[in-house]
Amino acid sequence: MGERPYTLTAELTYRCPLHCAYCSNPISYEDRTPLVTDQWCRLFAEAEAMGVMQVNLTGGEPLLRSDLEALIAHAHHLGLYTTLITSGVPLSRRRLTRLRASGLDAVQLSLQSTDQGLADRIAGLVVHETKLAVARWTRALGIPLTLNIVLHRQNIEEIRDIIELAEGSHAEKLELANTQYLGWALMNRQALLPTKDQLEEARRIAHAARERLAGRMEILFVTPDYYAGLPRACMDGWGRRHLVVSPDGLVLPCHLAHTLPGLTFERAGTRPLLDIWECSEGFNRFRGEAWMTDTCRTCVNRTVDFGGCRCQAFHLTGHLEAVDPACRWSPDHHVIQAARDQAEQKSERAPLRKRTLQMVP
Amino acid sequence: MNDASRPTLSAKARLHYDRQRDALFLLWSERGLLLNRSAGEILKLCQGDESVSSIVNALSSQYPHTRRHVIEEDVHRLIRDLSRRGLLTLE
Repeated sequence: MGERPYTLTAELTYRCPLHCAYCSNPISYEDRTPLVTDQWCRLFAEAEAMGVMQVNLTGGEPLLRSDLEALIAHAHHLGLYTTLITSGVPLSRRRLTRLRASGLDAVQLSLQSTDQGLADRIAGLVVHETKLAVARWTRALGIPLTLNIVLHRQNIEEIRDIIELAEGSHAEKLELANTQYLGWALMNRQALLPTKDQLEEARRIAHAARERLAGRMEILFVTPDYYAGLPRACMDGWGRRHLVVSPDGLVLPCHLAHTLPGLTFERAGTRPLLDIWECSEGFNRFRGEAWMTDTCRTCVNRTVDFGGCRCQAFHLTGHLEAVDPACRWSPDHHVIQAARDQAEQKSERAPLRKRTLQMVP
Repeated sequence: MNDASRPTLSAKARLHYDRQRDALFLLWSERGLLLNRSAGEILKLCQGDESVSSIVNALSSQYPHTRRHVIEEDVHRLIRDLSRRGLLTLE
C-alpha cells in the first residue's frame, strides 16, 4: 500500500445553528440519509485498522447528534485520539462532562471575534458569551483546548485582543486561520479578503506572540495562499493522509471534493474502506503527478504542495487539472491578483451572504 | 531544565503504538509526530516519576554500547524541544 490515512475527519452532520459567511461546508448538497451510529462505528473500526490514529468529529455542528457520546466512546475504545471541532452551541457543562467521560481527548472551539457584537453578527446568532463559557468549562474539566478563529478583513485587526483572550482562556493552542476562499467564503470574498497591510500586521503580531508564548500556547498562523504566491499543500496532498466522510457517508479526500464535477466517490459500507481508499476513481484521480500540467510536473515544489488545491483550481478556472491560481506560475494567477487589487479599494463594506442549508431536491 | 527535573507528557499528548510501522507516535489534537526508536524509549520514561538524570541512567544501562554523553545529549535535546512545543512539562 502506497499511502495510508492518519486522520479521519467525520462530518457528522451539515446542520449547524450558526450561519458563518465563510463556512467550509458545501453551498448545496443532496439531502441523503445521514449515517447512523452503527455505520459510523464500523467506519471508525475500519479506519483504525488502516492506520488512522486521529478522529476529528466535526460538521456542521457535531453536538447536534445525540449519539455523540456513543461515537466518542467507540473511537476511544479503538485507541483513536478524538477531537471535537465545535461552535460550542448547543452545549451544557453537564454534557461536556459526559463527552469527556466517554473518552473525548480534546476540544477545538470556534470563535468569530473578540467583539461580542461582531461575533454574533458573523455567527448570525447571539452565542459569543456561551462560547466563552464553553472555553471555561473545557479547561475546568482538564480538556485540552484549541481556539480557532477564522480571520478576515472584518476581524483581523483584533488579533492582539484575540491572542489575549486565548491566553486568558488557558487555551493550549490558538489557530489564527486565514479564510480559505472556497464555497461560502468564495461567494463572500469581497467582504472577507483582507488587504496586504492588514495581513502583514497580523502576521507580525502573531509571530511575536508565538515566540513570547512558546511552551505555553501554540499559535498557528499560516500566510494565506492569496498572499503567499504559492499554493498550500491542501490536505497534505490528495488521498495521501486524510480521509473525510460526509454526513451521508461519502468517503472523500477533502471536505469539498464532491463539489468537483465528473469525479466518482463511494459510500462507506458499500465495500471495505481500504478498497475505497486504494481503488476508488475519485481518490486516485489526483494522486501522484501524472494528472499535473507541465507547469506543476516540472516544478521543484510539486513534492511540497502536491499541486495545490484542486477545488480552488476548479472553482476559479473551471478546469480540474489547472495549476492552482494561487501559484505565481499559474497562467490564471491574475484572478488572485484581481481579488487582491479589489481588497485594496476602500469601498463600502460588501454585504455578507450568510450560510444557510441549501439542499438539492 | 536540570538533572533533577522530572519531565511528564503534557495532558494533551499521548503515546500511540502504530502496528503498521512498529513505531511509537506522539499524538495531540489534530497532530502527530513519528518517533524514532530513541525518542520513543525516552518518552516512555517521561511519566513524571523519573528525573532527567535517572532517564539517562536507565537508557545508559539499556544501551551499554552507546556512550553516555551521546545519550545525555539526545535526552536533553528531545526534552527541550518538546517542552518548547508544550508537549512535555517539567516538574
